Amino acid sequence: MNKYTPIIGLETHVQLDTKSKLFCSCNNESFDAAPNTNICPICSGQPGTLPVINKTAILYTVKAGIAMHCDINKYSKWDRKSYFYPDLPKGYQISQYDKPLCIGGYIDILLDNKEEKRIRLNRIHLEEDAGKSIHDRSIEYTYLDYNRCGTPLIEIVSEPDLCSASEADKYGKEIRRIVRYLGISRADMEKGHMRFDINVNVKIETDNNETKYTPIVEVKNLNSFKALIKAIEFEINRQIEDFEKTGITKSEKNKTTRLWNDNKGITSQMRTKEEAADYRYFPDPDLVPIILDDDYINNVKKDISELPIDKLKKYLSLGLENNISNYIVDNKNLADYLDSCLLKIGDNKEMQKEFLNWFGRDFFQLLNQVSSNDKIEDSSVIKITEDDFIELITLIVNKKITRNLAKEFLIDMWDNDKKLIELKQQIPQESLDIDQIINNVLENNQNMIDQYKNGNMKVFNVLIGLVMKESKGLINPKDITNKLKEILEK
Amino acid sequence: MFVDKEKIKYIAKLSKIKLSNKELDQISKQVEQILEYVDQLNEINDDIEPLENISGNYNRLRDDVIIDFNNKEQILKNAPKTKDGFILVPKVLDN
Amino acid sequence: MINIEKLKITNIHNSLINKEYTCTELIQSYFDKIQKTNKTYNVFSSLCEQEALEKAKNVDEKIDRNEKIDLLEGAPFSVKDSICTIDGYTQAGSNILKGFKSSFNATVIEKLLNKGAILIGKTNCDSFGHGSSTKNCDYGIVKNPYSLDYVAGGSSGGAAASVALDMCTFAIGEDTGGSIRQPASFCNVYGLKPSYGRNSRYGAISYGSSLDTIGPIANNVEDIKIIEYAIKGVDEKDVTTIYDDKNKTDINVKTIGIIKEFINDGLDKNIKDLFYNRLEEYENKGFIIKEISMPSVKYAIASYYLIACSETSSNLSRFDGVKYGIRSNDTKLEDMYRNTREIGFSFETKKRIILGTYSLSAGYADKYYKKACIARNLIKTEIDNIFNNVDVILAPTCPTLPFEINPTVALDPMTEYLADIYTVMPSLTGICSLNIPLGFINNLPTGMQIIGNRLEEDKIIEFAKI
Ligand SMILES: [Mg+2]
Ligand SMILES: [Zn+2]
Repeated sequence: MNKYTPIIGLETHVQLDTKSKLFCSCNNESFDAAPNTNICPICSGQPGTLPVINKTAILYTVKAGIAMHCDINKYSKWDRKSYFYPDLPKGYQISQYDKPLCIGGYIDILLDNKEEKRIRLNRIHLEEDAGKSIHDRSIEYTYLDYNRCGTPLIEIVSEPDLCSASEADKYGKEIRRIVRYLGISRADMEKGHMRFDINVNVKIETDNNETKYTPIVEVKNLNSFKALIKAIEFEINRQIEDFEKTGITKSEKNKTTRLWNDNKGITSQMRTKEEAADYRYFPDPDLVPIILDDDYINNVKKDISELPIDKLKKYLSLGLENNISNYIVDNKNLADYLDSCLLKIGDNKEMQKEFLNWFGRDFFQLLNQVSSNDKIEDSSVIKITEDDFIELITLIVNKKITRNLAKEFLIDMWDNDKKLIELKQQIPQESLDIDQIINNVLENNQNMIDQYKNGNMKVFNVLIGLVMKESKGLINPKDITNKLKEILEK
Repeated sequence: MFVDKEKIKYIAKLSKIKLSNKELDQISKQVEQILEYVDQLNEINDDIEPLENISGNYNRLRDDVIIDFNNKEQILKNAPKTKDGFILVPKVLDN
Repeated sequence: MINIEKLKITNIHNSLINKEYTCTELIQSYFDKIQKTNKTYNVFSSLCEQEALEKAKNVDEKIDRNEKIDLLEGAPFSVKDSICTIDGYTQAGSNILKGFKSSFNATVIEKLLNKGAILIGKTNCDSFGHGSSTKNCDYGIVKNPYSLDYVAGGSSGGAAASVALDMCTFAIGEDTGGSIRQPASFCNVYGLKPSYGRNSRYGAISYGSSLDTIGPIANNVEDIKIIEYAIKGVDEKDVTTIYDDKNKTDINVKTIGIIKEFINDGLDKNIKDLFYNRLEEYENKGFIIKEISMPSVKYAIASYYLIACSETSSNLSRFDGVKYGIRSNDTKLEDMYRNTREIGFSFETKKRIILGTYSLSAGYADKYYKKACIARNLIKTEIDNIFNNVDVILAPTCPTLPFEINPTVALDPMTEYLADIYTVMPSLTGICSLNIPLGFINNLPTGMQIIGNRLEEDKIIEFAKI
């Protein structure tokens, strides 16, 4: 039997969440905008216009580069990549060819077997997006909307280190997490903030120890994780079948580009004959180089906090369940909340344990009511302030409140926007002093003490009942038992 | 012979220009003449850095602020064919 | 009737504030002149008469109210068709932009308009600046103001002629490899190619982005200075604009350099004589004339054409029939692209696009484009050294007299390119150069360049006054 190993590399385009576009001052957010309303002479490629680079786009790219362990190029420049397409108004895309902002780097992913795998990066560069072509509005015409033209994209180019669709999926999701963590992209798949180009072929090790490779296929513009997975799986199978039928192996010239058909779930050869891509890269004479110094890079570095994968490992080690940990890491707002709470709690192991129990169970149940999808849009979804949550846990740990009441409080805070300071009124303050309550009960029931001391064990339960009644059920019965025993057996 | 017509044909295709046969002949001839002339550049030492940034500027960046362009109508007015705010072109195949 | 012949900006200003004539009368006089002469010389491609007269009225009202007016207020100017203006058309001399109206004003135009100068029309040029005769203008050849059988030069031929023919007080042109200086010399006027980056390129339809400069054309050097001061400066819309070097305040000239390699058999004997006569005058006035050698200048034409055409092949990709200008009525996209560009571009433009695409194409970029940039560096290094030894360089502007429109023997295209030899060197090196009239030969004008180091515009302008 031949042994097949897929070789997969990804080019991931991530839209940066800057206010304005990359080369002009048009609004970068066009999701709800009518066609061609977020345009200006620059991004619509009018004659006589010149690009000017957005400072924040550079910062965001450097952030991505540092978070993905790249070397930041102190000298980088801009190149034109030429090709004709109606949604590319200038006839060239401004990109970075031989001097990108970031080179090298890697992203670690956590495999299903909990092993870590390192995916090496080739580079990250900054470039502009094209407009949108709409093909299905008419048979004769393609409709063009230039609102997206000039939107800043980072292109993260991996080495061909991925071996399966599942790994590619994890890698893509890790990128999504990282860029969300850095706050440089919303990485909303539905809005096209992330797109993948894949390069796939298969390594074949035959029985007689020969190693062969199938021709490399590029599939462009996969814009969902589902499409990413399916396209890779399809290509792997297709290439293996093709190889078994034809025996054709990789050569200098037989790299091809195929199109992904989302409806049919297949890739297909392009209808038009593909010309050998000749992009005629050359330095854009309208732009000047970027020179970054150590101070700049170090300042950005200082700004970057714990990475998602490290957080994930931390949560798992704290004993949170796998799916919950992942969910938290995927939602930066939530992770920030959790981390902040943990920080406030400090080294108190008892508090930590109690808190994590509540966080992983009750808190999550509440969260699930409001957020059934995979992400939390903003932190306002979390209805309980960190301080209230921690105080509640403190009350529990200090036995000032029963878990049942605590749960009621939690729900009340969440559902009705109540603050703990109001709810605490409901805790019967004086009667909560367990010693006081027991003493009161005993004082009033001297006869029962006598009966107990005379060996009537049944009255013990009656006393517990009385204490519980007096404390309005706010004290844990177990605590009452212990305390009562302690006093009676003195 | 520096250039053959096939090469010029390919370049014309890359440049999206449909040259007439007469133009193809003329341009091939003239481009060849120019390329023959510029061949003298090959005697220059390759150690010299190419001069690509004539202004000598670097890091000319813009603050990330939104400024709405106030004459979008003219941009659309210039388009040969529009509908519902879109610019229309003959159908792009392969999609 | 106002005598508008060779009017200077300061004349106009004084006449207006002294109420010798109204601005409306002034502008009307220029339009009368245009009316009479434009058909013959084909200088303007579009006019903004109504807008201009309206603005003139505003200036008059201001003067009536005794408000202060700017020196440039009311001064009529023309703009090369390849520079964007909201008023009038912006067609870059090319059929592909037929009927195109820009949605914005170029930065330099905006500056002039803010100072109250009045745009009267757009002037013909070789399409996209591709040429030195306006023969490649899709809106017709501009005739030489001194002889109708000769060209006005190019590519800013209309701009230079508009000034020479008193159709405006001054003109804004664009110079990539000599396109202001050569037509200025052919039309007996002053034309400044500023240092690269001194004036914003924003709104100039790019020919060769790393070479393009916008500059003034006028009847006298004082006006050149006024206009240049009005339009210069760093523009946040053009990242290649440069800050003035405050240290370069010394505008004294002692030593004049002459580039040995420029004086050869290619230079017209009569022009050479005029040039040397002028040198003698300078020598008599006490200037030191130094002959200098610039061996790398022999690569200038090759380097220039490769870089300019490479850049233009890319800059002109946006003219594809999709967003503006003409579009062929093909129903297949590929045909639409190819036919639109086939009918929209002039032969010369297509040739330059092909040459440039070739020079950037896979497998050739190192041999052509990159090599040209290496040559450019060599030339730049030599010019830097030369300016350590001389204050200005003098050179003819063009080795020949204005070309005949219909020559008995057609000019070889390569020979035409080689005629740019004196003007491309300052373009490649990003330094400044001013054409000043040198005299006449057989009733045809010729000019001379005063070439200064980068940002030494003041020096060459002051020198031109001598
Ligand atoms: Mg890309
Ligand atoms: Zn824009």
